[in-house]
Amino acid sequence: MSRTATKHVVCAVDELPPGERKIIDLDGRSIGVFNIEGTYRAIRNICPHHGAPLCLGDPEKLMSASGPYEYMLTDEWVLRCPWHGYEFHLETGRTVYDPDDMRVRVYPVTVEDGQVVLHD
Amino acid sequence: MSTVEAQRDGQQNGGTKFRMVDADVHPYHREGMNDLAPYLSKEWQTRLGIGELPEWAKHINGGQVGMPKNEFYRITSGPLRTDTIPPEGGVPGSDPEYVGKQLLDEYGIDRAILLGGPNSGHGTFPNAPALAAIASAYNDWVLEHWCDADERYRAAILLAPQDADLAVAEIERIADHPGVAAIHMPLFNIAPGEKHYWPVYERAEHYGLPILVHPGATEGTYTQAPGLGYIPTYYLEWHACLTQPAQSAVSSLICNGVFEKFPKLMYVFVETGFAWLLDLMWRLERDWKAQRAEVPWVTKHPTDYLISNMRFTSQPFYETERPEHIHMVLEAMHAEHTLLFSSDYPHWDFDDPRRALKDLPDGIRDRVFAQNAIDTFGDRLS
Repeated sequence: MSRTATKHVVCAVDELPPGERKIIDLDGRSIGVFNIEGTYRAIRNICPHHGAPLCLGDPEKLMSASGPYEYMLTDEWVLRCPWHGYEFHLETGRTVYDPDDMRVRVYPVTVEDGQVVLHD
Repeated sequence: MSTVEAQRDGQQNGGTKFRMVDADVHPYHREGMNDLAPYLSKEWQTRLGIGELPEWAKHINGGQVGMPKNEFYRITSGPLRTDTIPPEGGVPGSDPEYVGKQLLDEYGIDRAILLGGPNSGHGTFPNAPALAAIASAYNDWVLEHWCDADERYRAAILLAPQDADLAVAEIERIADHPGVAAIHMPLFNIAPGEKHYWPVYERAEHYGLPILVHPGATEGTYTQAPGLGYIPTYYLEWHACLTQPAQSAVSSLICNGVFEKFPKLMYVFVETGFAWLLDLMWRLERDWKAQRAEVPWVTKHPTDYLISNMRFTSQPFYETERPEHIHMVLEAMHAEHTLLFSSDYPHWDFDDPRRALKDLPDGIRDRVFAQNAIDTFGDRLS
């Protein structure tokens, strides 16, 4: 978080229960705020691939593998784009397939005085 | 207005200006095949289990006939763009008004060619008369619910390709409807160049209706479907390999002399890629020079038939490492004549016309987005 970060109240904590999301507008930028099992994540609502509304996709647990045929469901959450299905790590905004070059902005979220607060 | 702006102002077609034609949009039923009940005779409704069902049929699978569709692979990302679900709920791509807003209005699409969402695998259905009844019902449904609702929609009418007589009868029944712009011919395991289809091609040429072929969701996994080299284990490899039957179809049409017999017939390969044309055409060109006497009715270079009679839709557009790679493909395939824009809405691999074709050279942009489709579908778009 940079020193110049601005705080934005998203909503009261009980307005964003686990499993829910809110899509907010921040000076013309659309941002999705998710409550994932009690952890809040905020991610820009535009897919860097073709501009799809990324936050209309659903969060899911990242599927990995220990080897061919050995599926392994991890505890990590990814957001899947509603258009082409690209997966973005909700914590970092990086894609699974090309984390260095294909990424979207994420924002820290805290809870302060019963409010969900996004730091821009 | 600058020259560039004037060019982008649209193409003339019988006094109508079009900026963009989408050659592949999929309308879906709201209630599955039950949507077709009003367009089927009582006899076919009873036979197929469409519409009113006996009590037992409401409780178990199999109460209604199933149409061929590959269900061995579960598509990880979902088969359809999840944001295409209509606002009031229901099946993505099932509301003509919402598709009009989300797709046609959003991108300025003047005409959209509709290919039935759930019926591209119908070529592998084993009962031709039943399928012909279903195809007729689908055609009446799409014309009434889509084409009559918005003048921007044009139907590719569905045929039962297993029986050429029935297919011809359906063309005769409906070809003159103003909502009809093409024929959607599901593929099966008789190669498209063979005489089996010639009565259909004769009528298609007569009525000026291009033949559209589209992957059938059955390739390599149904006995009657077009084959693949091997049966894929995963959806990812199956989907990537759907170009294989299209390659066989191009060579079949050329070598069987279809375009000698029907020189005005247009054949549109929808959603089967096009970069493979380079390899295939180079091989056909080279081999034809030595093997020509085997097929002496092939009087022109294979590439000449490509330019005069075959078209390819753009989606899924390639994302190449460098723009020069796709530029080379487009030049070699004569994309200024052969490539038609398509979005494949509402499928998961939808192409956004503003983003997906960004590497298209400016010189062919207007042709790919509008003029090639206008040339292909002609007055049927007016």
